[in-house]
Amino acid sequence: MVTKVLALLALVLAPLAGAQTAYRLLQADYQGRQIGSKHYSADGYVTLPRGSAKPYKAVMVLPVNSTSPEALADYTQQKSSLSCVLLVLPSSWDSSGMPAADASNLLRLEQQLLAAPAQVPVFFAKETAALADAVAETHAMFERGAPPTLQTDRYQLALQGKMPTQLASKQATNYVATLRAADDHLKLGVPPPPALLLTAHFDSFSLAPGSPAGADAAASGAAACLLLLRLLHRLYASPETRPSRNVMVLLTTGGPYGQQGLLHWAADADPAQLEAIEAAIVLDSIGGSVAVQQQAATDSLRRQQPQLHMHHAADSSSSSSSSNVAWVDAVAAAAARMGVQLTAVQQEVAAGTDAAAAASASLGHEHLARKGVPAVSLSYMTAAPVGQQPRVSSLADTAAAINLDRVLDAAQVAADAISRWLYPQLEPQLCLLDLSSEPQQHRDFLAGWIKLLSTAPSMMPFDKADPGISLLHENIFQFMRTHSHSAKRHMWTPAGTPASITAFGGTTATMRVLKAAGFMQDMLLLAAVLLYLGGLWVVLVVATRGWAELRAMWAPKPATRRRNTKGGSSSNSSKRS
Amino acid sequence: MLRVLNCVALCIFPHFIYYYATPLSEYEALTSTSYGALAAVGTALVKGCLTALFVPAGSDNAFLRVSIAAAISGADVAGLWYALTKLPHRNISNSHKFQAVALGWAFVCALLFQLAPILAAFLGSPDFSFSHVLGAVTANIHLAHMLSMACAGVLFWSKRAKPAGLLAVLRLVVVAHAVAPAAISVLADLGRVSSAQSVLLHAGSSGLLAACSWWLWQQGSAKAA
Repeated sequence: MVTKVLALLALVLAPLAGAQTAYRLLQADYQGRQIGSKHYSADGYVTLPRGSAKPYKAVMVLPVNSTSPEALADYTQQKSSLSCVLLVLPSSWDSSGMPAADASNLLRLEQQLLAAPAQVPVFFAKETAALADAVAETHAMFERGAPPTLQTDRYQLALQGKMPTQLASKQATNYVATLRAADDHLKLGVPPPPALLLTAHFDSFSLAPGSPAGADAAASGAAACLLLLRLLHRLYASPETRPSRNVMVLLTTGGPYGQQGLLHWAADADPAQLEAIEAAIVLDSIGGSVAVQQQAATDSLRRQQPQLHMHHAADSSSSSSSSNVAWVDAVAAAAARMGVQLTAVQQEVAAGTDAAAAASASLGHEHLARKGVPAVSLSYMTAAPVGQQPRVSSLADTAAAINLDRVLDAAQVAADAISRWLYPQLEPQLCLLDLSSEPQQHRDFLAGWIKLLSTAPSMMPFDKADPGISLLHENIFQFMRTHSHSAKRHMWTPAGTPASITAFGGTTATMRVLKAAGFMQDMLLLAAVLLYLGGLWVVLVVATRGWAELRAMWAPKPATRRRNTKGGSSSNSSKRS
Repeated sequence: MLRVLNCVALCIFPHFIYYYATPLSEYEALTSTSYGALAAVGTALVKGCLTALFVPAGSDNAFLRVSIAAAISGADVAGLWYALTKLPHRNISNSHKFQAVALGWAFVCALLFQLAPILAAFLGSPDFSFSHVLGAVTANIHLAHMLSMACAGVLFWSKRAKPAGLLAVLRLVVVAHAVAPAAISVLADLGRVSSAQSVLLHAGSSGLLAACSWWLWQQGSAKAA
């Protein structure tokens, strides 16, 4: 009896506690292509993919490590009576990463969701104890031959999201910080000194924008750029060490969309400034995570240990080819000195319009090469993912899956190449990123920025009303201002955006696991209702009429004398006598 | 079935209990109660028409949509005013008239907005979830809200001279009574609060406003004495 009462209390109080975050499948991408359902809330009983009956108003719970893309398509691509589909991520998903096999299966499920729009709401959620209990008990119900239905005992899932909001601005933002040489006085007509460009994109495209995905694909490169900016600022801060060349650190958006941010920055940049850039390094996917590894084209590549690759353009124009080759050799030499194994990957750069360029570029060096800037992209990706628009960051790509040693390897290669370019005659050569001193500080710096960059919703165009996004942008800009001579925002408009976008509202939802009431709980609820109504009656009578009236209602009425109509009243006859 | 009965009982029985437990039944305030109910039905129809005409259903601007709906809910004030002043009530005191109209109004609102969805859910598909129990609880909270608004309304309507300070508080309380439900429903529609949180907010605001009305009533009675 006590447990039933407690269960009823739990039913009453459950909505007030035990909530967890669920991540909603993206509604549409920035070009308006539908991906998920518009419904932002869902409510239904827990069911599992067993039996052939079509569940009604149910939440189909599918673990990502054991669900096939075909099964997912069955439940999502047809209009059905399902309330929603809940894809359950392993409990270690965001704390210690996912195994390669699970990440690979998750990637296949994500590709399935991209292939055809989902007709029912789809949410992702991490497995918690409450959810695991609900699934286990539901399994047991199926085993007993009494599968959950609306009428029987069951677990209920309530998902409450926020209504989508229309984006106010479709502009995206790049951030550029400049460290100026001692003799760069910004005089009109005086060409600027030679410059080096260090760039990475900090946005990602994830099917669940509210989830902390995109750590390797975007956050790793951007965090490494900020680390190098901090180290370079120390050099430029002192007159004795201030170089005679400029360094620009550029964090861009539009990375998953053919590096559009870098393309627009290059198109809008001052031609003199662009011409002054003698070398460029693009950092992209340098976290060495399993999630990015699983996106490799072949099984053999997926099974390999991550190796740092240097992607560069095979440009046929003679004017820049020699400087391009020199820069490629310089970076390769830097890797050799740092003891980092580097594989060079050469790729033809497609000529043509900017739109065609955006369609073919994927790592960024291509846009710079087209402008005649010697550029390389450092990445653990074995091949540039050409043609994928947008480039999808798997939900498995979390900060927990990042290997900070890999990030530091790539950062060391870039640092050495940059310092030799800044001080070509210096002997012994400066070690810009010295891991023997302050190693933990560098790791903490990278870990902090990777976490911030991956947990804030970072999908373009940004919903500036989202506090997470505005905080991220403010943090980036303030850091760049503090660690450079000048920091600027460069605004640009993504191509192909429709007139209104309602894609990014409601990226998260609150999910509650409730145990639905059975017969006993109904009886207890009836007793509670009767008690409440009785108590209400008593309170109202006492408050408005007084205790006496209440007592009078329950007091026995006095017996009334019966009148004897034939012989007169008995009292009269007694009086006469 | 039992769950339906629980929700139906919780939804509408408190109204009958209020009518028969308090002296309202002795003053034969059924006419005034009926007027309140009719006014509520009429206002709901008008609000429905206004909503169909002015609320942009296809709009993606959730705040605009919800704000227009909240503004339309101001028609409730007009409906109550009509029921209190334009319909021929029996010769009963203002206090009983206000209570009766508020009771009738709350009863119809409970029927239309809480009981109807419960019955529709039961008849269409027996999908009973905690939200239906919350709906029945909301009917009770709304009844308490309407009665406390009636209390403040009686004080406001009374022709007795009121101290300036008390009058200002009274006006504030009456406005708060009118605005609080719409504000909470805006928050709920925008997804800022869950359904359980909106019920808690409604209960909290109704309780606070009821306490204010009771305090004002005490102050008003003391001043009259």
